[in-house]
Amino acid sequence: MAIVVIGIVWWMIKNSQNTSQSNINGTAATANESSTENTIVSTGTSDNDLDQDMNNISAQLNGLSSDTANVDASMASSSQSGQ
Amino acid sequence: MNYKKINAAVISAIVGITLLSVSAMPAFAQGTASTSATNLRMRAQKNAANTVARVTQTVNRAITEITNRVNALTSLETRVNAIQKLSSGEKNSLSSQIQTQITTMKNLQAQITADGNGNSTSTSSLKTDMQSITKAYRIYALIIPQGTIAAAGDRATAIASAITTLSGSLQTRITQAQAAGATMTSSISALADLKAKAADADAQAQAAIDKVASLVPDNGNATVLQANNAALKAARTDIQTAQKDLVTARQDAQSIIQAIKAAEKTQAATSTASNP
Repeated sequence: MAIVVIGIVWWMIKNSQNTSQSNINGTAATANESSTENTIVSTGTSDNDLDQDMNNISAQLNGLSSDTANVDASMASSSQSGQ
Repeated sequence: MNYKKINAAVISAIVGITLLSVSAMPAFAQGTASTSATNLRMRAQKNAANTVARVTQTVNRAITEITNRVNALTSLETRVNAIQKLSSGEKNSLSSQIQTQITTMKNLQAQITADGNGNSTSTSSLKTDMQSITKAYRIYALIIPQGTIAAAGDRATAIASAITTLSGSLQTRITQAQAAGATMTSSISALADLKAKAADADAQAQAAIDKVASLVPDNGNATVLQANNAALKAARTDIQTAQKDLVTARQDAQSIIQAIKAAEKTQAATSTASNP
């Protein structure tokens, strides 16, 4: 019984590792799938509108940071492998 | 007399041994030949087994490489489909290129599997197909960087556009603050910088997109490879410049909003003091 339980746990860990590795290989260069919003800012001029616009712009800048990191990663990968 | 007996015995022994050897030689030779044939057969079997193992290993490695590329391309396609600011022509071209690569990779996988199953004319076909994964298609060297740069450029132009829209709202609030008697010189200067940075970011991002839009795999052509690498590097620099511009523009916007809020507080305090 204990052997069966250990076997199942081992299989689950191994499967989890394989899945993680597959994800790393498959999406290393293209992580962060968040799309660009159609409307990042409103045309409102109240304090709340401006604060909300700034939050949205900050979120998009974070997304851009991820995008540029992906660019760097993909180009580093290409220069290393030549593939 | 004794010598004669001894000589006769020695000669008899020599003759006996010689006859025995001659009679045993074919059997011995046959045994040796049989052992050699067995050894050769075993060696051939071992070589064949090694070749099969090597081919299997090569095919498995190829399938892993292809799967990784297809996964990366699929993720990239999802990202490209979410792109908003690229022209439909640029977006369709990029998407179509990715789709073509995915199809080609899947076909190549089938071909390599067939090579491994012995359906190919020779193992050189397997070697050629293996090399084509990296040399002919350049998924990691071109397609993925090309797509990620397009995605980053698209987002940068979207942010630049948003900041330009925001600049209109900020201008309205600055004008209101000035009308209320506040000195907004720093904010006006910051707004001018914000607009300039947003415009430059948009131009840089668009330049990056244009630089990579028409790149094609080099197929082993060194000149095309160098041109592709140079274009990708230049586009990356453009994206980095656009990102810096946008960060600065955001800081400008933040300083303007703070100044507007400070001016409002001052005005409210003045108003309260003059009308207790």
